Amino acid sequence: MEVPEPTIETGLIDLVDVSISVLASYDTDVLRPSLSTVLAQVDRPRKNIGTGPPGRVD
Amino acid sequence: MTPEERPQPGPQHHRIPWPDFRSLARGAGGESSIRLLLSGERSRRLLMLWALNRELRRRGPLLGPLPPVDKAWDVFANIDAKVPEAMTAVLMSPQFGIWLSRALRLLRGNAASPAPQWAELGYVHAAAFAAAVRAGLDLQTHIPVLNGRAMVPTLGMVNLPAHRAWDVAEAVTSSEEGSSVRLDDMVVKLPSDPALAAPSWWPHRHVTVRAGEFVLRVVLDDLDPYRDLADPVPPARLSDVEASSWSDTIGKAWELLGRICPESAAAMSVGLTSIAPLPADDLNQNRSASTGDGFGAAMITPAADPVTLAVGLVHEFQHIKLGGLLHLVPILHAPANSVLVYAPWRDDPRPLSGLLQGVYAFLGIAGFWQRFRWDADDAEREAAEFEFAYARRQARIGIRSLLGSPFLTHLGRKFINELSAAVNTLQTHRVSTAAARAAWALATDHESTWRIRHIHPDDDAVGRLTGSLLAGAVAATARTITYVVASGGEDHWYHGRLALHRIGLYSPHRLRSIARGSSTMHSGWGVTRADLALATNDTPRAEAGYRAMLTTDPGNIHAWSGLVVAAAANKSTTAWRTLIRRPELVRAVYLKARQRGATISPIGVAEWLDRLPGIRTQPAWS
Repeated sequence: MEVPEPTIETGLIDLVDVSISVLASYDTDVLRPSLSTVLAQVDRPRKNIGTGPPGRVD
Repeated sequence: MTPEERPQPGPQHHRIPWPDFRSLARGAGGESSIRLLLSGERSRRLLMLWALNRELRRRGPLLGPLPPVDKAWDVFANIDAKVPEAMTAVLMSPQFGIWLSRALRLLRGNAASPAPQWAELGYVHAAAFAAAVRAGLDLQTHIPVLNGRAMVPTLGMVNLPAHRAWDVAEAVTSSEEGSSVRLDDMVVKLPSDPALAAPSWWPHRHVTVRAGEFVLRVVLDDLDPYRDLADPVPPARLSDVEASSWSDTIGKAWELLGRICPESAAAMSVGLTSIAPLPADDLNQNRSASTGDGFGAAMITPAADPVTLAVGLVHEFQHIKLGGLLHLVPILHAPANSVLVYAPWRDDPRPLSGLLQGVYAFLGIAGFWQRFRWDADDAEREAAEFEFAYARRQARIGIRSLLGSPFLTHLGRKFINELSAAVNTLQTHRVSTAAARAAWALATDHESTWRIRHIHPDDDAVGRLTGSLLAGAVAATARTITYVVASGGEDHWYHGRLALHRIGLYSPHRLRSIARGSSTMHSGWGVTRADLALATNDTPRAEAGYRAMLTTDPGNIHAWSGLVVAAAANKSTTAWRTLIRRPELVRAVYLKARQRGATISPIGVAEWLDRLPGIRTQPAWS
């Protein structure tokens, strides 16, 4: 029998229910780990460009 | 211990239920999975906005003649508290995401702008103004003007006098006076419904189309400076006729997607929010693009027909989904960005991260054609069969490098296993013999050409092999040939054979006409008689033609890859597998032998290499 896989915990802090005014009061240390990951992603943007036919590009 | 003294729970993180992860990994991902990605994007945008606010406050007067960033932040906080849907509309627009990313790169010194920084960073005030207009809350602020145009994000663009390249306009919105933008003596009043046109006001055009239960609502964005991949671009306002044509084609493409790919339509109805038209190019090629910075946006050229647009939307939405997932979990370790591999849709070597995006996209593209071929009429079916056979073959070739990669994370391994399972499932569908043959020929052709161009076997090893060959010996050394993968070989890569195959499938009578010589192809395709023979399945004649070409031009890459395909199709040599697997090595030894004055054929070299036991090639870094 297939063993169900557990839910995946990501490294991104969940701010969905946090209002912007409350966000302003957040301790930097709480946000820093997620922000560090996000800024690394921002610094290496992913662009997808496709053409075709005859060739497609990604 | 009082409640105040009890340790506070740590921050919650986004979580992905396994069924959603698996569904996304298999190239699918329904409505719930897309909402999950959107919630991650919301947190990400808030974090970025927080970082931008902090950085602008820390650095002082970067906003130049515009108000300090605190003003925009306070507006955002106020609107978020009172009319949250207005804030969400701005925060979650793809263009705001693209701008936020660029603004952070500018501040971190990872991007440059021809404009003064305040002109780009000041978009934050334009966004605050847009949110206030949406919310119906009073605001008086200032916004940047670029070449006489002031963007009001998510709503439209104001046209003002262009006395200077960069300027500042006063922007006011109030419940009593309505909304207006003023520069010098000119005041532009926004209509009470900003979706309507007015003098000097270009509203964003929205397209809403239905296919059964599925509704697609997108902005047809020809205005926002941040609708492109990163750098700001000027508006390219569509005429009413052009906009109507787009709307019509989107409607037909959506009807097709809703009918044959309902799961994709359900997901897109939640996650696709913007289509930015790209200008057509001289060759009328279909081009499309997307960026991880702008979740929900696709850029695309005007499509010749709804099928082309539908497959373009499927393609870009695959990237959008994967981009959103990669924001939440890493699939590849960072060094994967520096490892170059073969991607069957690219002429140049690609990093593994690019290959991953491509496989994911081609899985979606193949899935579209798989379904469309049963929906197509007789005239379209054979071409659809080919597109399916070719795309699934490309996905299958691409997944090889990912499956064997040492750069997968723990989750990445699971992701690739699921992706591979989905790619394998596509291989179980039957296709016509003609489509399968064409897909094989083109895929083999492309990979052979790529290997010859970009894989460079170690020259010393090639020299030793050549020495053994000329001595009539079985090589005692150099059984393992290392190679490097390098970009370069930038001379023109002819796609004439690919074009011929497609002509044969879409317009067989034209191919016959070209083969007879009664019509011609543009010389830019570089088509030879041997190519025509190959495209019309006269493979013995094609093989003879390529052999003849190599006699006079031994390094001709086009002839080498043609020979590989023709010889393999003919099975004219027992070494056809060696030709397919290591054309670059066969060619390198052949050229070295010719340099040393030997008289030998390419096939003779392939057959000699084929007899060497245990020979293998591997990248120099492994």
